[in-house]
Amino acid sequence: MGIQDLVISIAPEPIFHIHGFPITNTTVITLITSLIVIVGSLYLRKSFKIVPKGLQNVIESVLEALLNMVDSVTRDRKQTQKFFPLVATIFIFVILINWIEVVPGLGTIGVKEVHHGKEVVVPFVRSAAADLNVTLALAIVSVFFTQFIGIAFLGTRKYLSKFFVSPFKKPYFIGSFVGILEVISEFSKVISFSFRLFGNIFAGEALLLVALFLLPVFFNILPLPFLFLELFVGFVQALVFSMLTLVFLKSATIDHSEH
Amino acid sequence: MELLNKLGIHPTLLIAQIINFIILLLVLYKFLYNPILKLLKKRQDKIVKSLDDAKQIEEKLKKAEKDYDQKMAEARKEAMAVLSETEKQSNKQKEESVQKTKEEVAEIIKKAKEQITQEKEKIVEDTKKEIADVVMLAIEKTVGKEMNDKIDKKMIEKTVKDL
Repeated sequence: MGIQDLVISIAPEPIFHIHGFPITNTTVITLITSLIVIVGSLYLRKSFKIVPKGLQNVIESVLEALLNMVDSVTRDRKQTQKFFPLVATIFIFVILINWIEVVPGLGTIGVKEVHHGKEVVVPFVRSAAADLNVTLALAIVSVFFTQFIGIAFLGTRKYLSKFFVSPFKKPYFIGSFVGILEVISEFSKVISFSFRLFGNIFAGEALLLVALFLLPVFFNILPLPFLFLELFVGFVQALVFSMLTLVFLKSATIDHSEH
Repeated sequence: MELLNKLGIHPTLLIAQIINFIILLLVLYKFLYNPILKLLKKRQDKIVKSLDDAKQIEEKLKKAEKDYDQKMAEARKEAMAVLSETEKQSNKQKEESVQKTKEEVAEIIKKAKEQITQEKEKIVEDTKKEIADVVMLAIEKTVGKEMNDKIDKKMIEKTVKDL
C-alpha cells in the first residue's frame, strides 16, 4: 500500500447498512466509547468508598478538577451543580473519542470497498470527532441546554427579551438589531462548536495518515511527534468545547436588562 | 442539502448521535457524578470535622499539660514546705537535746562538786580531830602528865578548829 492508495474522506465511511440506515465507522466508535464509559461507571459505582483507592483516585481527581473549573466560572455552588453534568460529560466524551484515533494500528483494520474504481480499506476506526454528525450533535445539545438554562434561570419572558427587542423603546432600532444579532449568534455557536472540533480532529487524523505513508515502514518515526501533538490537541479541544459550553451557560443566566 | 451530504451529515445519524450523547449524560449523571460528588462532599465534611476535633484535642492536651505543670509546681512547693518544716523541727529537737544534755552534765558536775566539798570538809574535820589528838598526846608527853580528858580535849579541839 502506498501513498497513492491514501483516501481521505470528509464524510465518515459506512461499514454496512441496516434497512437503509448507514452504520458508519464513527457510529461504531461512539457506541463503543459510550458503552465502555457506561459499563465502567456502572461497575465502579459499587466500589466507591469514602477512602479512595486505585482507579477511584483517578476518576475523583478528574471530576474534582472539572468541578473546580466549573466553580471558578460560576462562583455559585447551585449553578455548578446544574452545569457540571453537561460540562463534565462533554469533556469526558470528547477527550475519549479524540484519543481513540492515536491508538496505533486501529486505522488499518477495516473492510475492503471499491471507491472510484479502486479497492481501498475502509477502517473500522475513525476518530469520532472527525465526523460532523458527532460534533454537530454535541453542539446542538450544548446550545439547546444553554437556552433551557437561560429560561430556567431568568424566566421565559426575560430570556426572550434578550432576542426580541421592541423597536419603539429607548435605543430604538439599534436594540432590535442587537436582538437579531443575538439570535444569529446562537446559531453561529452551533456551527463554530461543531466545525472547530471537527476541523481539529479531522486535520489531525489526515496528518497522522499522511505522516504514516511518507517514509518506508521500518524507518518511520515521523508519526511519533504527531501522535503526541494529537494527544495534546485532543485534550485542548475537549477542554475548549466544555469550557465554551460552560461560559455560554453562565452568560445565559445573567440578566442583561439590569445594565 | 447537497452541501450537508458532502460534509457527511446524515439526519438519522445526527439524531442517533444526539440520543447517544443524552443517554451517556443521563447514565453518567446518575451513576458517576452523583455518587462521586456526594462522596466528595461527605469526605470534605469528615475532614473538616476531624480537623476541628484535632484542634479541640490539642487544646485539651495543652490545658492538661498546663494543669499538670501547675499541680507539679504546687506539689513541689508543698514538699519544700514540708521539708523545711521537718528540718526546723529536727533542728529544734537537736538543740533541745543538746540543752538537756548540757543541763544534765551541769547537774552531775554540781553534784560531784558538792560531794567533793562534803568529803573535803569531812576530811578536814577528821584531820583536825586527829591533829587535836596528836597535839594532846604531844602536850601530855611534854608536860608529862595526863590531862583532864574532858576539858583539855575540848579546849584543844576548839583551838584546832579555830586555826
